[in-house]
Amino acid sequence: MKAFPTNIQFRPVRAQLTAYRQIYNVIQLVVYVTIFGLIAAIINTTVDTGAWQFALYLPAIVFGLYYLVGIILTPFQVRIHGWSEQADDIIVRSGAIFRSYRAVPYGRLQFVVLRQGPLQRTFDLADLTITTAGSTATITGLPTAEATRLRDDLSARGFARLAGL
Amino acid sequence: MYHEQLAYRRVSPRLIPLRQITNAIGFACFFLFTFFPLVILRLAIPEFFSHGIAYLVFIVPVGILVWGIVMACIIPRRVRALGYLERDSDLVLRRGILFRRQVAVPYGRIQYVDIQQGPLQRIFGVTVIVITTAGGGTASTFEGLPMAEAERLRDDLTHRGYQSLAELAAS
Amino acid sequence: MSDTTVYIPWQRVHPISPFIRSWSALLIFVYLITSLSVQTLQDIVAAFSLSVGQSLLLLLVVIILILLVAIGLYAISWRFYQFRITSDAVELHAGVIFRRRRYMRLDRLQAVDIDRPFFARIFGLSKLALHAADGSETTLTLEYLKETDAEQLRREILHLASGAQDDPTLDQATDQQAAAQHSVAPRYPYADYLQQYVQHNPHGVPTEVPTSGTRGPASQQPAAAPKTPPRDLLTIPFSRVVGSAFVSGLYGGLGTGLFSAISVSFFVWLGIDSENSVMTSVILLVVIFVAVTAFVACITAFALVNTNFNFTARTSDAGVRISSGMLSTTSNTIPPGRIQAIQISQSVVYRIFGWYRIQVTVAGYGLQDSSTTVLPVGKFDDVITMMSVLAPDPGVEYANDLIYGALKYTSDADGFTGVPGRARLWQPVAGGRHGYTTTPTLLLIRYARLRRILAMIPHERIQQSAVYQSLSDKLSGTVSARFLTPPGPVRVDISNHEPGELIKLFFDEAQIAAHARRMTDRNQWMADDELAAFDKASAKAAPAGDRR
Repeated sequence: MKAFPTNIQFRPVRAQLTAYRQIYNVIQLVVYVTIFGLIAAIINTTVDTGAWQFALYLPAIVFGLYYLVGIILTPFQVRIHGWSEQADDIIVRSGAIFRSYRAVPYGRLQFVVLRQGPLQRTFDLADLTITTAGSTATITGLPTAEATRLRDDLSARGFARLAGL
Repeated sequence: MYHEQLAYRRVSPRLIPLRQITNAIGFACFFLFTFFPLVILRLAIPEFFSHGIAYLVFIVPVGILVWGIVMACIIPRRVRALGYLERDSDLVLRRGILFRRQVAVPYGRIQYVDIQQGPLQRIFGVTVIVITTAGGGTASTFEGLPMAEAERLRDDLTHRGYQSLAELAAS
Repeated sequence: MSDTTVYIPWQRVHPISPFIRSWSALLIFVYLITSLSVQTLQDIVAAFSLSVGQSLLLLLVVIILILLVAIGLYAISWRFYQFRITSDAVELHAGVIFRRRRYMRLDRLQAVDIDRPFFARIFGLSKLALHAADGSETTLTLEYLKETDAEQLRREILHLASGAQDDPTLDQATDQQAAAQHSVAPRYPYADYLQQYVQHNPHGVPTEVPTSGTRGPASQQPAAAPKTPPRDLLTIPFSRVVGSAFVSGLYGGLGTGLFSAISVSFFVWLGIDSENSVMTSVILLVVIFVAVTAFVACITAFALVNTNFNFTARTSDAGVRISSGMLSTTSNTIPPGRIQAIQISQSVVYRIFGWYRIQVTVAGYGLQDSSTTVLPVGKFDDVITMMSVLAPDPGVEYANDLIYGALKYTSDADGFTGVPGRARLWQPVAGGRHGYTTTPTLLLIRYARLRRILAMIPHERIQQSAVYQSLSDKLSGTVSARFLTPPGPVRVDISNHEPGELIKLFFDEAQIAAHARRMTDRNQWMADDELAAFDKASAKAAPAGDRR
């Protein structure tokens, strides 16, 4: 999306998000390829599948490719992912290939959720989900302190507007 | 974010025995449902267990038992991890030890508040507060407040919006 | 505002309610128990050699016992369902074993419905349903109340929810009396807005507008909130209700009929011997087709007539009231400012007759029900009349032309954008007809060519706006946008547009919406302090620029 104005400064999420995501990607890659590969191998050794014996490896290959693409794209996705606090809304940017920009008005925010798992904690990462009536926008991989700051700011700005919706 | 210098208020400690009971009942049922069929299998078809290795299937009920005991051990910590904080403009609820979750709900966004109490909860004098916003889902279900405190909190939550409104009109 | 010093007593629903709510279940239950007991009774009769009279007595005792138990259970459930309406909130205590206490501030009210299901109607009872913005769930259902009680309660609730601080006894008066008492110019001068919609009148919309004084938009009228006399907007004539029901029924029935006829006769054709197979299956095909089509059409048509019979829309201080129904009736009230999005649509069949349908997104209704349809079948005049209430301020003087053009496609230069030629592949039918335009108050999005759909969202109601690129966008170098509203029937996405256009819209929308939110974010639509804050905000804010 080249037409998107470049004068809007997006704050990037933590670079460690790449490492965290890659750990998950690699684990999933290994687990799925092993499981589907093993299943195919067991079937091939017990039953005579003839010409089909390579086709049985297809699920393992598909999963492998899927996560491989994920591993390649992750650094780009993390680099793109970011947010920008505007006067009346927060814009979240995401997507390496299929780019998207979501603007959530402070005045429409319903509640903010902050999440952190054990592995995320070792990387000092937190996920922030901004919920409005009928939509959510998530910023992943914020530094914990920044996530807390953002939560408080958003919540306070949301409060300044009166109506319930 | 967990040990930030915010004075979270804790829930009633009587939630611990309540959670212990429900946890024990749940895992006991789970255990029996897996254990008894295996016992019956052992009695009905002894040949199945001719290989000693077949006894490994008993890992499943034993695993469930161990899991239940582990859960029972961390219940006190999990209950102590529950906290709520009334700030100027919003209510913050937190929960979780490993997987931590904090929700901030601005007072002006609260649609309605439910206070629920089942029979066991009544015995232990705790309630469940459900705060509904237009964001849908169960944004904030919070167990463990005594009824009086729950009602106090509800009244505060639902009237904060009015105060701020009056202040805003006066400013 | 909150007046908690006065004790407000708890109320219960009508004692007969549990029976009406579950009369069918009760009947089945009694039937099952008695039919089961007959067997046992016969055994007992045989064992103790009872006479016929004695065994009948025994049967009677069993039935009475069952009824007593049922009545006891019902009495308990009835006793434990209590509600009360205080000056600023509605409270509910429910549940015997699992207790629930619900507390909802009245200014959070999104809609109030009074339903009269057929069976309850026989007993003169109504169901009152209050909706807050919690998706499709009904926040508070009071079933059943006496009809007069339900009406009274609705008036009271709407009055309290509006935050109007005048004499509440006025509300005891019926709508007609209220109309007589208040000949003052309205606070929400819908009539004037209708004029705004029909200023240019090239399409035969009646110009005689029920005027009640000339006043500008609400924002220019601080203080003193006189009541709007309730006014009938429109009633759909019976002939049109039946006509549209029949047409829609037939349209729906044709598909089902065709499908079932072909599939059934295909299997029959497979099964019978070759000699008279063709003839038989053709006859069967025709018979099944006609029968199924007629059956489905009749059922659908009857259901539609039943729902839309005597469809009437009214407007008053409390907002829009839609009532309809033959056997079962409903009456839904949507207070001002609760409408999140509006959609005018015209199916292919409706186009033949020049009919339109209007649906709205209301946070309290969600996706679910028929309540979201505020005009099931109407002429273009009716559309404009409804629009003058649903979106009282279109922001432009040529709103009538704009909507007419958007639906009729009178001209290519009607202000709407289109899908660029290189992306037509992804929009083969709609093509240039899919686009948007904005007025100072509304974002209008148009879809489809065969059917016609026009979605309108007030700028301040947008919950999230997004611009993104899908695969098709990536391939054709275009961009899509989505404007999220609470769950509802209205479509709110724009696909495959010029990147520059949509990105400009994305940022413009952010600004306009921010301004519009400051003007309109209010809970209680008539509260003095909210009005004061509102007027202050309006005074501060720069006047909205006309973007066209």
